[in-house]
Amino acid sequence: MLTRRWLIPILLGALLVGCLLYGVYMGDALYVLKNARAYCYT
Amino acid sequence: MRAERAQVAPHRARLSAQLIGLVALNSYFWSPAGKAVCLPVLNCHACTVSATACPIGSITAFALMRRVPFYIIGMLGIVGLSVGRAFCGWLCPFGLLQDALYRLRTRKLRLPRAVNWLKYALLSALVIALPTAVGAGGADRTSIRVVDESAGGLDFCALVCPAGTLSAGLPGLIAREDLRSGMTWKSWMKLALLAVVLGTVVLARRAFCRALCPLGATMALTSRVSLFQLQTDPAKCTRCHLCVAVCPTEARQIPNTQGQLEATAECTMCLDCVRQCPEAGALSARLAARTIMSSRAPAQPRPLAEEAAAR
Repeated sequence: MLTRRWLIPILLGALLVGCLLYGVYMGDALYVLKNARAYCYT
Repeated sequence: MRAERAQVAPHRARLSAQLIGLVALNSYFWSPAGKAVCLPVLNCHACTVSATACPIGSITAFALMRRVPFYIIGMLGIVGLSVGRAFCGWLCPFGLLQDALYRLRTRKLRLPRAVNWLKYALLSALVIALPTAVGAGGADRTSIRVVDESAGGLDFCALVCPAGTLSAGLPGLIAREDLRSGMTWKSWMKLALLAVVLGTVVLARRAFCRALCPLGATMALTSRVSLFQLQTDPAKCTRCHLCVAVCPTEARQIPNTQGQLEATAECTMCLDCVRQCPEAGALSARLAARTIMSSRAPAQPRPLAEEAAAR
């Protein structure tokens, strides 16, 4: 049952999932991957 | 100042998790796709075998591009909301190294609490502000090396990070002559800083985590809203302060009233306090509404508990 106690974690969680998905949509995940691999010495 | 703290034997489950983390996070075969994932552990992605991307290096790259790192904020935020700084206590390879070095039998020191603020300054300045200020911004997103070179390497990874020096810099210098011949003052400074950090963590437990880690500073922002929290039962707690004595980051504080914080943002949820609490059920770790671990009365009186009672 949803109570006030869980409201903030749920809303915050939803916001963070939204950030994550938006970042994936904008290609951020690919950029992180390229950047990390570019820094490898080999 | 000599440390009047109790040292406990490593928690078998936590040590196992740390060792599994060390191997899993440095398993090369994950890395082709794994480096798109930013886990909140300090594991330099410049190391060839590193399986994930370091959040600090990734945030710096976004700062250089003057872009908001929504993806990284989302990923770190979800982890932080779920388990707070537990990755620091249970998975971070550099945390494992610090725990191991602290077990060396030497004189121990206590760090003043003021040093805890230094990592926030490093996060603000060397991860966000300076890279944003000097970054290329708007440059071709695939020209990653050009962006970094244009920024002059004025960021935490280039100037400070001892984890990067240890796991990527040193092996690179050993293996490649071109890197050795190209060493600058920054290279020598980072090597010296690594030596200082390793020396300090022998004397003061988790000194790097407390004072210098910008990733710890980032995850500390989530500690109050995290679903993974300590909980004291005031009816059972005898205020022996053993939990305070064994805390590696001096985060533990026994609440005086209901709703007061059980630990500061320095808490890495190592659960040594729960393990050492001599009163059954007085201290527990809870994930959401579920108790994960609760203190148990010892079968025999423990030396640490007797020392605390005698104080």
